[in-house]
Amino acid sequence: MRRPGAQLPPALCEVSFRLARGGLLGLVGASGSGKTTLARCLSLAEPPDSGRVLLGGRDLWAAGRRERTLLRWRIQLIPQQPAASLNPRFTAAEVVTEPLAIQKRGTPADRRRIAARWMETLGLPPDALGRRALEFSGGERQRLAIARALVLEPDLLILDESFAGLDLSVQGQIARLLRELCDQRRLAAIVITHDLALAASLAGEIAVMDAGSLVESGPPAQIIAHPCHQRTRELLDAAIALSLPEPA
Amino acid sequence: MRSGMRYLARRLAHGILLVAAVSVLSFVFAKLAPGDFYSDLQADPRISRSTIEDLRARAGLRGSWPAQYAAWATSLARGDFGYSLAYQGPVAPILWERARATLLLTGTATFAAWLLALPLGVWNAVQRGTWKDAAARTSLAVLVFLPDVLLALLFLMLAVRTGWFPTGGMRSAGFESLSAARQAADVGWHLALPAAVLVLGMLPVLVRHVRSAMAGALDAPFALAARAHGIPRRRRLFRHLLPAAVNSLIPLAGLSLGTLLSASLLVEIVMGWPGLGPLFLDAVMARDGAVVLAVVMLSAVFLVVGNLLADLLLYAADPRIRVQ
Amino acid sequence: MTAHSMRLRLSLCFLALLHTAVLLAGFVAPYPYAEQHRDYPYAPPIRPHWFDARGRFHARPFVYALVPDAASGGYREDPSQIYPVRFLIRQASSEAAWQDFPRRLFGVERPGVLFLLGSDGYGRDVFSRLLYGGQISLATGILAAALSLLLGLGIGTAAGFFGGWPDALLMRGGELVMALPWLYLLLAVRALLPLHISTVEAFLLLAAIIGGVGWVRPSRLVRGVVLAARESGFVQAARGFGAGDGYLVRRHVLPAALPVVWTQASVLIPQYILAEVALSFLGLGVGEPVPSWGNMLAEARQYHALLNYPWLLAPGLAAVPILLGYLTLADALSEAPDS
Repeated sequence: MRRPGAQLPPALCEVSFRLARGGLLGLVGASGSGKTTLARCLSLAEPPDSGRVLLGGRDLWAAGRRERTLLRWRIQLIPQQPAASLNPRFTAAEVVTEPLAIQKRGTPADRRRIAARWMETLGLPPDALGRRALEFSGGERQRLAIARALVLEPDLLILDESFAGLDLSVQGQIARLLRELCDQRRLAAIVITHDLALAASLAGEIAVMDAGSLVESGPPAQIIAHPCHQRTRELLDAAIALSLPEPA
Repeated sequence: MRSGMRYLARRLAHGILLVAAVSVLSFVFAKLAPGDFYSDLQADPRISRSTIEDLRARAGLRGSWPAQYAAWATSLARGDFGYSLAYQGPVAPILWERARATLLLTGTATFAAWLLALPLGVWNAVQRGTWKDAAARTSLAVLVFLPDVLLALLFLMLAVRTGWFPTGGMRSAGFESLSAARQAADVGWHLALPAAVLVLGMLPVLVRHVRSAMAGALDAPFALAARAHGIPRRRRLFRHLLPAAVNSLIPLAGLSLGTLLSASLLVEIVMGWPGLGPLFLDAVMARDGAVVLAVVMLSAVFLVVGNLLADLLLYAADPRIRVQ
Repeated sequence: MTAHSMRLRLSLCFLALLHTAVLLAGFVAPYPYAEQHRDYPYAPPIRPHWFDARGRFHARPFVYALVPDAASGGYREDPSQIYPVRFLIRQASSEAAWQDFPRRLFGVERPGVLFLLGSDGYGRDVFSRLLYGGQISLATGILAAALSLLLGLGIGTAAGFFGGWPDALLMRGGELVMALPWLYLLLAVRALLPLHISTVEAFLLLAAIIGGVGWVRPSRLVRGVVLAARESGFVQAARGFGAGDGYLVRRHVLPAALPVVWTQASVLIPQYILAEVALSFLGLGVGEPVPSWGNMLAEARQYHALLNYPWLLAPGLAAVPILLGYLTLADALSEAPDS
């Protein structure tokens, strides 16, 4: 996928990269570097002023509105505050089965089964299916959002700062799950974070963003050992200050 | 200040457009009515159709709608409200006379209501949470449950049975021979009951708004600061808190102003006060189009002007709005 | 049970009770609304007694016969004639209409009369007419409110969801309607239409006018909720799953707007009941012989009625508990975060 874009004042410019199936990209940068804007462009929430989003070679923004609506599900974005993306009146079951219901897949019983399975995978008690979304804690709601994104088995999953606010053990659990999905299910994933250490431990490739541009990219080991860009160095210093990074 | 001027101009233009749209709407409504003033005459076999058509043409009821509207609108702008077929005379003098009477009634009532509501609301807010507050709120709430019509009829019954107040009209017989002071007193005596009904109707809403506005001001940080500084209570209330509360009351004041002409329709009719209410009802029953349109336009203009004034006052009073 | 939910339940029960009594006027009221007792015009309210003239207690309440009193010009009770109040009494009346039951909740045998709230100029029982009249007034209020809310929901949703020029157009249109004073508008619109029409037509017309004019405020409130919902995270997310507009409106937007609708209903219904009363009072609503609280009050307006027959004001008083119930309900609903 290639994605350059520009807005006034440009939140993004000169961004271009490619991600293959099964690849896990860690997108790192400070706040305001354009990460979220990029995520919204990729997930078709906002049209770019210039540039293209190609999925399997297909230009998504060039397609008509109808077609785009049909293809949207294949790229799933988990936004920064996933709690806001859950309708508080919905039960957990309704939340997680919603994508399936919209896409009209399977019978209601099937959908519940799939939802229960994914909830379990994410460490949520399956008997919580009947509880209302607002009764869950912040971290649990985050996991509900991830479960919901996964029920459709999309091609690309974008997690925008999704690890913030989760217990370390839960973070580990989700990190493992992600790796498994990427390796076994051929899911492509982009993990957006300002924590270089997290990205390094998780991703197969790291891309660094600064002021709307992609300034550096490469395997984690290389980035950590030989940071080229100033911003990368700053991020590295910040990461070292917090903990010792472990190359994947 | 320039942005202030722009805001003023924008609101003014908006108001004018609204009034113009109201005029078109009212005109279309009036024209859509089946039959007109002369419809009843058609039933009379002695009057020929051509006579009726002649009468119609003379009264300006012929011609295409846009032409009629243009004629009506231009004369309206000149202050000529047309010709009343029921009263056989120009509408304008009747209109102004009745409008004056209505304004006298509602103006007095609104003034009295605000005069009562402000201290009551302030006192209520200060007494928040105490039994006195609850008692006051309950008694006002009871007022809300009494429909206007009932109140008016009850007061009328009082007048009829005791004879302490007149049962209708604005002046007693022999009014002209009274001295100026006595004339004023006479009108006031006639005014008392209708005004009382209106005041009782307005009071609950006003008091509730004043109360919540004051409560809001009382809870604000600057209020606590003033208290900490040791400023005496009365001074605090009236010099610091009330002005802050006034902001949230401005829209309400605008509404009061805007409804000066229309709030008393029912009360006037029931209690026989010779204002726009009875005039409107009679005109509607008689299909006197010119009067109906004139009254509707006048009330609409008042409403729009009231809202406009409220907007402008709010703009002037609240610096926060200017930033938008 | 919290004080708040207590109020909610109480007001709902109270309203249900009142509405049922009115709905079953054919059973609860002692007399059909058109039945005249020519011998007893302007009779005062008749009190049931439990103790008779000799001080004896009767378990079953009774009334005395009413005879004209030459001295006062009105009536007095004749203790020599006793009519016990019977329950589930069989009422045979020539004036019975389709909704009247063969048995009535209570009444007295003829020629006795039981006027709990007195009688009007034609000798018709005010209490009975109050109940029947309530049917018209309450039904008009509810129907009109339903219309207003339906329109408000539709317009508010369209304006809020689609935005752009439909939104501007609809909101400006609403502003236009609001610029006209409410009661004046009602009068004018009502008077536009033929003055002499059948009861059913008058009823439907009144409901249509009152409801058709009052959609503006509900639509604004709904629009606010819809705008918030449209921008919300969960709607964005649903779009991300490929949801179309229809699904979004159905599943997310409308359910969010419903609480607003219920609260508005509890506020609008009493307002519209009063509007019907006002219009009928002025002679523009349902007409004789069908009673509505408005046209019954019109009779009370007359000089001699105010002077001598205060019980004719009963329809006005009947509105009070209705208002009480609805406004308490409105208070309770507007406090609830989620009902």
